[in-house]
Amino acid sequence: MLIELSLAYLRERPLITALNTLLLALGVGVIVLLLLVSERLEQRLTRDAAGIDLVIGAKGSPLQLILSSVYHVDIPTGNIPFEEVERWRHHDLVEAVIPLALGDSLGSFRIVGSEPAYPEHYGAEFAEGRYWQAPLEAVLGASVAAKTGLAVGDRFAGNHGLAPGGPAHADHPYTVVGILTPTGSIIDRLVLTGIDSIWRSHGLIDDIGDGDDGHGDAGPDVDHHEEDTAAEASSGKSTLSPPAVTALLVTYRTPLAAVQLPPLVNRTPGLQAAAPAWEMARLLALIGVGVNTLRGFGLVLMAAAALSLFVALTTALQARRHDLAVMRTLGASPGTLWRQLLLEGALLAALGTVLGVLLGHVAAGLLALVSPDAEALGLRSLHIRVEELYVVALALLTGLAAAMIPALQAYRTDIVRLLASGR
Amino acid sequence: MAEHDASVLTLRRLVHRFGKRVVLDIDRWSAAKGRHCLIEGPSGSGKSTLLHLIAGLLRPDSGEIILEDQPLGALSGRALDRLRSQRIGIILQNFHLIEALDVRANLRLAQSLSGSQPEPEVIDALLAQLGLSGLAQNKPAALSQGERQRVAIIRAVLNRPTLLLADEPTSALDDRHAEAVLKLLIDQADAAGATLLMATHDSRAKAHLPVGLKLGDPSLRERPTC
Repeated sequence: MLIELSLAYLRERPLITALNTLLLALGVGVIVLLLLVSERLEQRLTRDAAGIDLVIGAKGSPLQLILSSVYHVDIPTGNIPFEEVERWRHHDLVEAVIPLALGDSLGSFRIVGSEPAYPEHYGAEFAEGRYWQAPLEAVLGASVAAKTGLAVGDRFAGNHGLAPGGPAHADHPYTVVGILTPTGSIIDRLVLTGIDSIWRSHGLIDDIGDGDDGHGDAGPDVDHHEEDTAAEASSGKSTLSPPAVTALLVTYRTPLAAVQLPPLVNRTPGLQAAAPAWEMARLLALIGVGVNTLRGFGLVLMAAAALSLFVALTTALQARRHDLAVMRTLGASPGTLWRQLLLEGALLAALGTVLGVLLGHVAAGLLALVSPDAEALGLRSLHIRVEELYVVALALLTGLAAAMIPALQAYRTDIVRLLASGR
Repeated sequence: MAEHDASVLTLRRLVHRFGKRVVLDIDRWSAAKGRHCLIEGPSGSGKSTLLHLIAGLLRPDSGEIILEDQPLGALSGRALDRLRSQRIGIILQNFHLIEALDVRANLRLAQSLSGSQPEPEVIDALLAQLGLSGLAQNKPAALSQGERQRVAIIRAVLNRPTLLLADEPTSALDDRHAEAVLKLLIDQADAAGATLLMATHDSRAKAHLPVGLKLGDPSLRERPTC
């Protein structure tokens, strides 16, 4: 009956109830959304960098090197000579090296020249088709295939440069020869091909038979060079000069390598080494500032909701003081009045919390629908985090805390004075 | 002892003060079971205070209040609340109903607060008896003054109390309504087996009930019983 009474009181003032619920829901929603996004972000960052101990690339910002070659979000720092691949691959401290050549894209997806070891590193398997065997054969990540609708046997022209909308390499179309299964990693969003394909599409190698021999001394032809320069101006140092690669993903053979290898690389002219784990920690710290700010915003919203609930219950109490008196004459103990007020606060808090959690998840779903970046993170509306329970508990406690003082006022109501004055 | 057997309420050397002012000083008084009566006196003579003391909403400075054979002074606050919910019905002057609840829920609340099992058939019977069946789902705001009074009276007798206390129920009403409320109170008290004690300074009530206790007039000491 107390629940029924509390609900009746909430229904009696629908606007105030709705506003308080909404305020709390917004606070909870913001925090839940943050939890979902930051978790996916961290998972994604960790997953994409798993097993990559070091990245070797051209000198520049180490963070930029990691972002461009591990996460494929920034433009590369430059290119390094192809000889470096074999040099580091056979180094005693190195277990494995995966070379990457960047420079082209298909819409918003990057075309990456590499070796089968690259998708295999992320556990990718073929949904259909096979690896590239000839130049200009391409394998599509699961998301690329889904988004572009390309199937095995289809042909497409890559765009020059890493930003969408660069000039098309219409004269060097790729042929899709394979499509990978989803891995939940960066591979899903890449178009993979052989390194020589990148060179070829840039006109660095003219003869198909020449493909495997990367040391070819084919000079850049003038026509393409102009195009490269134009693209460079718009999208940075993203293009390849004669046989070169963009970065090497290195796995150490021994833990000792973590100490010895980076200085060795950094002493080599034109090369730098960057450790993904290290750069990722820096990146997360940077993101953390923003996340904390937004989380603070969510908490402020929740505090505002608590304050608003407190005001609403206090004014309601004033309006309902005759109800309190009547309930006391009917035999309600002060404790019953206290419980009723707390129940009212708790019901409203529960309503706001449930709405807020829904809001957070719907927002995550919408974000994934609207923004390709969020979709790339694997943001899902139905994914639920354990930490949300803490948010729920916090929101419910907030509601109870806000109701506590009005509830105590109800408890202490001087019934006799009220009856004497309340005619 | 003979006095006790028939008494539903006994007051002994009851004194209550607000600050230093003595508002109530009753040496000995008792009410016989089933004999409804008025507690009369001008404003400020302590009528409401006496009702609050009898209802256990207030504790006297000294003296004893005994409901049937239960001295109220021996009970804890919780026990007083329970006793009030089960054995005392109270009607306030403004016949206040809880506006957020419909008529039936207002009555169910009274049942629920007394700790008894919900008895919808009792509520339905009383509503039907007072011609309110069609209004059970209405909020109090949709009721006329007379209908609100009837609902408040049903609420007070719903748990079949021993005592029915009414505080100035007619003083704000016109003659027609006052008459109706008085008759209703007496009828319902009889039906519920309750003894009606009505605090009033409304002379219209005297046509229906005897004056059992007269407060605030030092020359007229109260009679020892109702």
